[in-house]
Amino acid sequence: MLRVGHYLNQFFAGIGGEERAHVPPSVRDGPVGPGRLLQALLGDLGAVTSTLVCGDNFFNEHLEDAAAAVRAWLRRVGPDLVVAGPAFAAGRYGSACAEVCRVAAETGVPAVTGMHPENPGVVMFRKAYIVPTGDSAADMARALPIIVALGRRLASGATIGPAEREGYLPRGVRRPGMRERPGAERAVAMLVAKLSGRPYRTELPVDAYESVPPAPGVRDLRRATIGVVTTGAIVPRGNPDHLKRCSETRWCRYDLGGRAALSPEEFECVHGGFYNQPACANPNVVLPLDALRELEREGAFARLLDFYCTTTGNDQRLADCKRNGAEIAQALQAAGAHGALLVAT
Amino acid sequence: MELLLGTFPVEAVAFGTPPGWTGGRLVIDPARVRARVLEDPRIREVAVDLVEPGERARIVHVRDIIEPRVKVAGRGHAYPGVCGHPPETVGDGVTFRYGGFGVLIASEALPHVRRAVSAATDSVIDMSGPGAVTVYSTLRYLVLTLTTEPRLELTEWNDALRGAGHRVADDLAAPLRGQAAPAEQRFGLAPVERPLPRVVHVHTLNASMVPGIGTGIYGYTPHALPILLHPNEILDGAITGDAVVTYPGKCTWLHVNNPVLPALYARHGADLAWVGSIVARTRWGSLHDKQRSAYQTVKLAEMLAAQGALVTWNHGGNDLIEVMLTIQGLERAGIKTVFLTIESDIKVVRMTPALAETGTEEPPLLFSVPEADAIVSTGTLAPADALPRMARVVGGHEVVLDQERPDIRTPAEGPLDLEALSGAYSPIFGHFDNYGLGCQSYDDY
Repeated sequence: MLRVGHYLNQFFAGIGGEERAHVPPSVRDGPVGPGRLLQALLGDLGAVTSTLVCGDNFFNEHLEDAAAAVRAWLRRVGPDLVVAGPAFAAGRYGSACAEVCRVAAETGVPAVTGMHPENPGVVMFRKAYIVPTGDSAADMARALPIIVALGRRLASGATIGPAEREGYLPRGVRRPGMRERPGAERAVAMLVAKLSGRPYRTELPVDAYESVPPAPGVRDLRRATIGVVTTGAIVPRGNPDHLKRCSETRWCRYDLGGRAALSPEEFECVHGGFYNQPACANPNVVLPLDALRELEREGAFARLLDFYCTTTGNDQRLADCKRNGAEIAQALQAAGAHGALLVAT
Repeated sequence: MELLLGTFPVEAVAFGTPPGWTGGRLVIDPARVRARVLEDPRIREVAVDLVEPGERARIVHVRDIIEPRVKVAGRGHAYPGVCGHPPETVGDGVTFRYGGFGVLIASEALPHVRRAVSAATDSVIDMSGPGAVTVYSTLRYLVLTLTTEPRLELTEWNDALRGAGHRVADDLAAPLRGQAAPAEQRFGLAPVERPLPRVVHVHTLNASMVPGIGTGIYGYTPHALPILLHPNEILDGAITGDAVVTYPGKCTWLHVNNPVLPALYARHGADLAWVGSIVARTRWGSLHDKQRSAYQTVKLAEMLAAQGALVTWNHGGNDLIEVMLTIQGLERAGIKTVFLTIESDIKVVRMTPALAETGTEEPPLLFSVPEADAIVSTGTLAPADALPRMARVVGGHEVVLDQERPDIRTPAEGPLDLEALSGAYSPIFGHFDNYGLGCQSYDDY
């Protein structure tokens, strides 16, 4: 018998509307409100043993307290499955449901929720299993059976198939799979559909890219210590660390040893994303030590750090890019840099 | 422009004399092949081998594959503009071809070539087993394993290898002249009789960063502004690969067997009116170059009064910027686009499903625009298992799997644990399906 814990907001628990949205978490035994339909759908196969109720404002304004309450509830009730909501188009409720799913996932309890695809809760915890619903409770009777079916599969430990087939919203995870027709035929069919105004579904939804805010400017460049960094894979000749021409996971640090410029006898370029022979003939075109020394002499800045950091910025996985960036920044900071010149390639 | 393509299916290949094709059986005279190859004094040695699909065989150091063809009517030469063939416009008349067969050029990259050209990697084709994942495991081959003068300069080396391949391919196809083709297909962009949406194929093609090599149009390889081709020109060999880089999507065989062309032809006159293929080069060196190419491609599509565009590409990395700028420009001009693409770029070379996974944390595409709202994904062909030991190896004895460690040489017969051995590019030749030959894709989870 499946032990189900249900999460509801103050409205669906019958406590009240907006005026009661501040109520703190409380626990009821058995099903409450839409939990009764949930219980009916589970039939003999399961029981809603406990319901956690919280006001939407409380949950969103006291996120840590709310999460602690969810954690304590899970520990005490020990459910085999958590069902949150569904929240439909209610934004704060949707966020709370997503957070309940996150805490459940952290404690290893399968969880499922439902909400409108444009509910802000969808992006709160991308790994949540969210069944798409309409924008109001009018969709309850249609959506809840789908939520229960997916929840039972999750609780049983079954392998969960693609989002489109199982009926949940994409969780930001993509895996290889087969389709019925070859790619070329699918592409032409999709174009014909798009041109005739018939529905089509992209096979690769594009996410908006994260923007990186620029760092504030160096306050007084003339007194600043500057470091130089490049993703252009300039290495000592012979490539002693075997820096890869693409898909590199690491970064390297090399001494400049007071040199006035980089000579092709001592340095080379191993980047595979551009024709690197000109950069081998004159490494300063990628790591402009010659120009930096001149600026240093002129007093444009106070001092150039006597080492540089490099990696190969060619098909590097995003996780590696982020880690390398953070580590290089740390190395420069530890050496007392006030600013850095990053030569991207 | 109307092209009749006559196909002579190759169901068996054997060495013998006299050479020729009869009832699906191709007989090749090895002495004649050797003689044709050694006409070029830059080639010191050649080994000739036949390889079949399903064999426990591995071909290594694959540089290019050429489908032998001969023009029996109409102007020009199959694969125009390369290896001494005149650059005359093709796509009209009658061309005969062998189906399911290729002349495969194998040669280990010379050390200075390996150093200078990052994509001149060692590659393998497994004819059976878990590594037999690409279309290239399904063809029959005459493999030419070539040893050149060791000091040949890059473009000379390319010229010598490619020349040998085309001389042999031409020689094998010549006897088809005068025979009756068992299967015939007619290709032409007949005027459509009812109003149908006008569709252009935006065929973006990488141009090499390395001067003198790369995929060519009538043999012309440098970066250049977009050009309009009739699809029959492509079917007749106007786009050819070099014999240096092993990147997927550059193989000469693939360009005459590009499945996008028959897929568009199948709907021409029924659901759409195909107005031609704009070939736009990719991997420009600066943002202005990328923008200029994208804007001119959009302008050509507008001048063709296109209402829809099927956009393809054949490379990876920063080429995607000009491809996406083109998609954005087309959509802004009111031309609806579909983009056919491999997924996860070239990163899925390690052969585990876990690493094949993409998503929010590891974006499947290096760059995208919000206008790209209709994409078909051809996924990845990376196999999950290591490549087993093979009974037979053709093309060489050892392979270098980490380009930064040419000193580490692995016996080619294997087993090859690609995940452990491969530094970057997958060594499986054509390991991505750029043009959608197969059904593999990605799903959201």
